Amino acid sequence: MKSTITLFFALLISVGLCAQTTATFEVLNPGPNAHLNDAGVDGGFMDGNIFLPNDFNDEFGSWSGWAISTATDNQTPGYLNQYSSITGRGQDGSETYAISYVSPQSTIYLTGAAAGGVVEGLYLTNSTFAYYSMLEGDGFTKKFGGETGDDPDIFLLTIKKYLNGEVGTDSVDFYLADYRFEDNSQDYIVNEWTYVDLRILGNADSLLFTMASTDTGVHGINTPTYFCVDNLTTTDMPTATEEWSQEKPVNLFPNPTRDLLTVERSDVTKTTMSLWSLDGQFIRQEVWSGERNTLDMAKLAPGMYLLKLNDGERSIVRKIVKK
Amino acid sequence: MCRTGCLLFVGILLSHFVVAQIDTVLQLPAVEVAGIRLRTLPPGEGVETWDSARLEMAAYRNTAELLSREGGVFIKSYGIGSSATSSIRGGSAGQTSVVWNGLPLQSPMLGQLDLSLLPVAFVDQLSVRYGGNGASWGSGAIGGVITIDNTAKYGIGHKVDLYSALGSFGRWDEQLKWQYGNTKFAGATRIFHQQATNDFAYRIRPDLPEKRQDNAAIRQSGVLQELYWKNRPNQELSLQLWGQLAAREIPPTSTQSRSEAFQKDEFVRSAVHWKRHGRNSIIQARTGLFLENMNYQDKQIGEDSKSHFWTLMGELDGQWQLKKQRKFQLVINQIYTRAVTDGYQEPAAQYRISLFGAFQQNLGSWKAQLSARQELVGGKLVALMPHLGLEGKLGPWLTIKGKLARNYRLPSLNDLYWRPGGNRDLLAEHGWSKELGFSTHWKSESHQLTYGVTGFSRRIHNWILWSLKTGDAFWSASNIAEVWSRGIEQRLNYKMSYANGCWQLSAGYDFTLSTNEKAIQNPKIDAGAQLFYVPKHQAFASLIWYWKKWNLAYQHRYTGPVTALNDSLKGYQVGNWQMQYSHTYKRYSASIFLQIDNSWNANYRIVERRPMPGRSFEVGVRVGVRG
Repeated sequence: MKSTITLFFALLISVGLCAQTTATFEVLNPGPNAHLNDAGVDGGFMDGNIFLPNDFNDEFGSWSGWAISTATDNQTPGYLNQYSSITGRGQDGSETYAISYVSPQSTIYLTGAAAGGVVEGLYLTNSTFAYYSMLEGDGFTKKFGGETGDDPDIFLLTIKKYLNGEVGTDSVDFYLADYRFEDNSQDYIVNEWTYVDLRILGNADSLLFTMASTDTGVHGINTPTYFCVDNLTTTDMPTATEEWSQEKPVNLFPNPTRDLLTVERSDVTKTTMSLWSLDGQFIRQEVWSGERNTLDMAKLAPGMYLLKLNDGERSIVRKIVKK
Repeated sequence: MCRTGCLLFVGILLSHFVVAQIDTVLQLPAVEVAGIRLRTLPPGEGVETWDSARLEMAAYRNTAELLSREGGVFIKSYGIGSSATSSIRGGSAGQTSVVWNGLPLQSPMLGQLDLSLLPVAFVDQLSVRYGGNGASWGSGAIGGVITIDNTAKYGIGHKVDLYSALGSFGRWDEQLKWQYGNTKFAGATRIFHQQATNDFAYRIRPDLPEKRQDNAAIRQSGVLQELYWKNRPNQELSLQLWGQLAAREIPPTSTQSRSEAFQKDEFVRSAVHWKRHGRNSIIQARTGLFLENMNYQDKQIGEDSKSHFWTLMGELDGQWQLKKQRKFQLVINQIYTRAVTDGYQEPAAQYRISLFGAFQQNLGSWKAQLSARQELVGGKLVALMPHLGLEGKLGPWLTIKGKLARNYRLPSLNDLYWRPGGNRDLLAEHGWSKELGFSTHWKSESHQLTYGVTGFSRRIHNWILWSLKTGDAFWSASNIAEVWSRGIEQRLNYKMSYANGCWQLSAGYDFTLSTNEKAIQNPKIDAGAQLFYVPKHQAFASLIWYWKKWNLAYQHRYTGPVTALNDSLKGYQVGNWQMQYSHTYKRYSASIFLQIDNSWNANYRIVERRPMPGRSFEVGVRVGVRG
């Protein structure tokens, strides 16, 4: 696929005509057989109407959240090949896809026209690292099925939503591997892109991804908590919000901050501010008006946070570093 | 810091040469290397010793294999010839100090030693000193200390022994030991080679097909050269040079389809030791230089990881008999180490200097010793480590021993500098230990009986664990745990002699509770939970029958269940047989032996997902000549 494709299809008869946007990640293509990590001050990657947070540690080169990848090596097991999907390409043969390292959860924020709307669905598959870890085991993880081949192992991805700061009760479970069948020949590990319908979750501000595995020990999940996403389709709200205009920028300072963060905007529209941790935990929400507002972060733990502003027409997400 | 360290080091070296030059010729009788031993054998210490005769029966083994059969050390072995570490009195692998001729052998990067790389053939005396002794041995001496020593054989003439053995799973051992000595010079040249395919078969369940261990071959070779020179009756200069190469495949776990992992360890360790006996004193200086490389490769995942370190050590040791009943010892010790690995941002270096002092007062059959160590690491003082030991007779057959000690373990270089997760703010693990023991000894013309019981208690604060903290994407080291270890150890030794031989029984039972005192989220550890891989119960017995030129030995060991990282492991019992026949004709001697390991074919595991071999055999021969 080429760049981001924006599709306008007629659907949702009950609420009128709503457009859909599919994030294909092709606009973020880092070049052949490469990956895009370390989103820097942006705090993540934006495609279509979604924002994928990225927490990259410059000092150690470690990360969690989301990376963008065109890695094609779907043969080499191990953590040194952590950016590739087991298909070696994106859905439908495209080059680019998103890969998430879940620690302990990953989030996708809906922005612009999709904020507060319904997510249609997305394509999912295993990372090469997780796939071979389950298929063959390694020095740390177990081969699924265990020593006898009969262990009822699973590798489960659970998707929930946040709306207005509340986590939804509905969830969608997707088994990246399922070894619970009586007949072991039916046991499987997902090795192709699989469409997952998310409409059951309803309207959402963000999607929350958590993982579970039967291969757990005292250190938690042994199976590498990676999964891959492509072609995530969002639905525009009937009263569509847009991405905050570049002509009317939002300034945050000081950033990083120890206590008070000042947010300056070029207009005084009534705006809802919501604050999230980078791993998707909702922290608090305030309604702001005026050009300058302050956010007290003194009591928060050091780390990275996401500030989301939504004035009903436009929305923006910015990364904040708390020292 | 490096410059200062080097200057001090040169100072120590110079100082001992100066001492040597100004020494007046004292016509003292030649003294066997024993020393006043305030540091090496303080009162109150529980010591188990393997002398050369006992080690001879295990000449083909490595130290991990020997200690996994005899004594109260729990050996966490990943398989035959594979990596093996020790746990003494519920301590971690890094809480055992291993000392070779007075020099600590633990890797400064890992803070522990792989005992499978320590061939018994290179040891003349091996001792396990139970309980903490941070004052005497410094960092790591929390659970206990394993000392291995080489001794000079003056006046032996020439003695050459050749060993050869073949065993199950492609095991092949070859050794040469050539010892030589007159009244002034002595030396020994030891060479060993060991290899095995380790392709043993095992079953997960009786109804499932047999599996065969794969990618498990090992190959180890080494040489140890010792030279001793008594340039004066009261002085000795010695040199040891030890080189070794180990290439080991790392087999897949029982839940892994294949493995192409491989590890190569190579090292050169050199030591120079000078000692002078005065009328009421012993002055010693020793220095050591260790160079070690490790290379871990896994072609399957494209990993090729190399690490290297070198360590330079120097020590000056003075011991004085002040009066008949008083002894005093002062030791200054320096260690400089430098390590390089892809895991560090830049080469890591550490300079340590410590001062040890001890005073012993004897009163009749009673001995009391107060000692202490003060260490400076990278310019920062570690807390003072005092040690009080007491030993005395309560009656003709009853001896009481006790000690109170503060002990510590410095963070390893990996704990401090590994990326990601190394933490330069880590503190040393530390805590107090106390123990009290009684022993009784009874002897008649043909019978000897010794029974001892010891109770101990030890709390360690700032225990270092690697874990995934909330919000982090990588594991990191921190001082998060507090561990309380306590237990009771019992030892029984019985020997019955008769005209053509004797029976010898050694048995022991250890009950060890080693519990985390604070609940931890990651790793998930409940308050009061027993440490991973620390059995509560261990029992062992060995019975040896000597008759004329024959000896027959049986060893049996019970290890209780342990908690592992993913599952619990059942307890197991393993029994081993050894039969040996020896014959001497004039200058020539020969012996032949047959060994049956795991004779009851127990299906057991020491480490989860790592099967151990079933019954195995080894047959060997030794031929020797003396001249």
